[in-house]
Formats: sequence, C-alpha cells, structure tokens
Amino acid sequence: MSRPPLSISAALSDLTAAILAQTSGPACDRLRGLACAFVDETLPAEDRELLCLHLEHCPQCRGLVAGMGEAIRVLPGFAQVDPGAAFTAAVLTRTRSPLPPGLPPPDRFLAGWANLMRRPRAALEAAYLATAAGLILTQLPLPGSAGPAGSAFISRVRTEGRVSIARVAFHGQGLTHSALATAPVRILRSRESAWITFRTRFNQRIERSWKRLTRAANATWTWLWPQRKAPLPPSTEPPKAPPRSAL
Amino acid sequence: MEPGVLLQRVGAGDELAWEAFVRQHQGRIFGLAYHYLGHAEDARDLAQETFVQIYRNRHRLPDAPGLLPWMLRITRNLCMDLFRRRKARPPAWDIPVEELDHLHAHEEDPGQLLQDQARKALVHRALRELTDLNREMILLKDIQGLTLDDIATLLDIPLGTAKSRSNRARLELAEKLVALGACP
Repeated sequence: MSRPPLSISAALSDLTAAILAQTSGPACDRLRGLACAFVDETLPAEDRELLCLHLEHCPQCRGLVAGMGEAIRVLPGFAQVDPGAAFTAAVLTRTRSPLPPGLPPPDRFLAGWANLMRRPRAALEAAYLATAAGLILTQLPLPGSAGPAGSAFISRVRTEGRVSIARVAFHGQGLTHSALATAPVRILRSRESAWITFRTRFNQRIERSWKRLTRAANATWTWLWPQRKAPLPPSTEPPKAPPRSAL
Repeated sequence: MEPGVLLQRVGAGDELAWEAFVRQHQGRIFGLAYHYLGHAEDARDLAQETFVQIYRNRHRLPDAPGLLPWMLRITRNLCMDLFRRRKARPPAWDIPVEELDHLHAHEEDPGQLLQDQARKALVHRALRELTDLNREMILLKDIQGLTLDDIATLLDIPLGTAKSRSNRARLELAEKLVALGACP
C-alpha cells in the first residue's frame, strides 16, 4: 500500500499542533483575551505580530476575529434610527407650551414625589417602615405601664420630687420598684422621659380615635338598620350588680 | 455651528437652536430607546419625554464632550423606569431589520446597498441571540460609541468589569456571527 503524499507545510502544521498538545496546549484561549484589542488596533506591536502568526495557522480564530471585525464595522450604523417626520414637530409642540426652565419648588417636589411613588419598591418600603414604626410605638411595653410578670428593668423613678435610679419589677397585679441610687438633683426632662411621654400620648390618641371610630360605626349601623341592634365591641368592664331596690 | 455654541444658544432659550438641537440628536435618542424597548411607538413617546427633560434642564446642560453620555443616561433611565412600571422586561431587539436599513443608508450603489443589508441582517440576527447583559454592552459601547468610563458610570460598575463585559459581549457576538455563517 502506498501512503498519500503529504505536503511539507501540512506536516509542519501537524507537528506544531502535536507539540502544543503535549506542552502548553493551543493558544486559542490567549487569543480570545486579545482579540478585542487586536480589532481595535490597540494591541502592542509584539503581541500583534504573534497574534497574526497564530491567525495564519488557526482557521477558527481567523473566523472569530473576522466576525468581530465585521460586527464592529456594521454596528455603528444601528446608532441612529429616524423617528419619523412628525417627531421634531411633536417635541417642539411639547416644549413650546409654557414650560418653565425649572419647575417651581412645590411642583418640583410633587413631581419628584410622584416619580418616587411610581417605583414599585417604594410602596413596599413605605409599608414596611410604617409597620415597623407602628409596632415600635404601640407594641413595645412602656416602662412602668405593662410587662410580663417576673420581668424587670432599671429606670429613673420620680418619688417625692426626687429622681432615683431604681429596679422596677413586674408582678401579677402591678409593679414595685426598689431604689438603687438617688440623684442629688431633680431631672426635669430627659430624652428617655420625652420618648415615654410621646409614646404614651400617641397610644392615648390611637385609643381615642379607635373609640370615636367605633362609635361612628355603631351610629351608622343603627341609622341604616334601626330595627337591628348595633354590634357593640366586647366590654372589658364587669357586669354591674342589680340595684338593691330590685331585689 | 459648533456644538459648544449650539449648546450655549439652547441654554439661552433660542428656539431655533433648540430645534436644530432636536434634529441633530433625535435619531440617536430614538435609536437607543428603540433598541431598548423594541417598539416604535413606545420609543417615540420615550424619546419625546427625554427631550422634554433635556429642555427643562437646558440651563444645566453639560459641555459638548459630556453631552452624549448625559442624554443617553437620561434615555436609559427612562427606559428602566418604564420596564419597572411594567414589571417585566419585554423582549428587545425585535426591530425589523428593514426599518434599520432604509433609514440611514447613504450608499447609492444598489449592489453595495444589497450587500450592506445582508451584512446588517446577519449582525442584527446575531445581536438578537445575545444575552441581555451582553446586548446592552454592545448597544452602549459599539453602537452608541460610549467610552468604557462612561459605561462604567452609567451602569454603576467598576471600569475593569465594564471592560471585561465588553470583551465578553464582543466575543459572544463574533461567535454567533461565525455560527450564522457570516465569516468563513
């Protein structure tokens, strides 16, 4: 059997591929890192020369570089698209109307607020913050007003015109406090007491508003359906004992 | 007229200068909106809104070199706002390539024109097959011609990230073109 004739260049190419396969591997990955700079012609001369040598013998990389060059030649043509004949007139009409160079501050604020509210996440964030604020204001126990039995905390306690640092402990029916130290001067209004006062008043207002709302709902119910008895909120007071005269 | 002078006259409230400004930049603004939204009517509305915003801020226009990135940033932000309002990113790049071709084809030789159209169609098809991230990089870097610094600022990413993303996007585009048979 006779072997097919082999050209010298093909034989050398095969030899190079065989040597690269046994040593560093093909240099195509290195070319992929340099292809953009090669196409942009920002590659240093030495690298360019080596890359050209590789491209001479690697059809895959040659195709890749040719494709990139083709794309870069064509792509800038996509930048401008004609919006149509009426576009300029429409823009000029919109900007010819009395449009101040800058909106006055209230309008600017309202426009900014409207933009902010159009963000889908803004409503979620606002609801989260409002819920957190509501829980902090209404649900955290106020020092001295409520707390689970057996718990205790250290606080300022004002007794007989003097302020003491005391350990306040909750029991089943109320709380007791035992002074740890007594301040020599009277503290009129500390940051803590202002916060407690604010929360107490806030809670009272919420409670009053809720009562008003309940009364209004009851009145509306009675006005709409006078025959029916309005649903009353569950009373927390114990039932009154009948008068003695009735016995 | 030089860009700087035109900007000065726009800032001074010259209506003729403003009209010239709109005519000069409308193709690019509309093109970017069109590529993002993929719908001509939406892109037209958004481009109008972009120009209204530019007009409102005409006293604070950047200087000539920074003008294009500034306008493209406004356009992109408006596009992103629209996507957020719709809560879903619609498929972009569904632009018929004929629309891209007949608009800014300056060649007069019919043979050359036909060849260019075929090239554009292939590149356009390859672009449609890219991932969103890579398509946006190609759109900003190779179509709109922004620098990597501008892109890094616009997308709020480090410069190195912008560079590597751009390289990756180009490689992917070239591979798609080779796969489509655009290059031997």
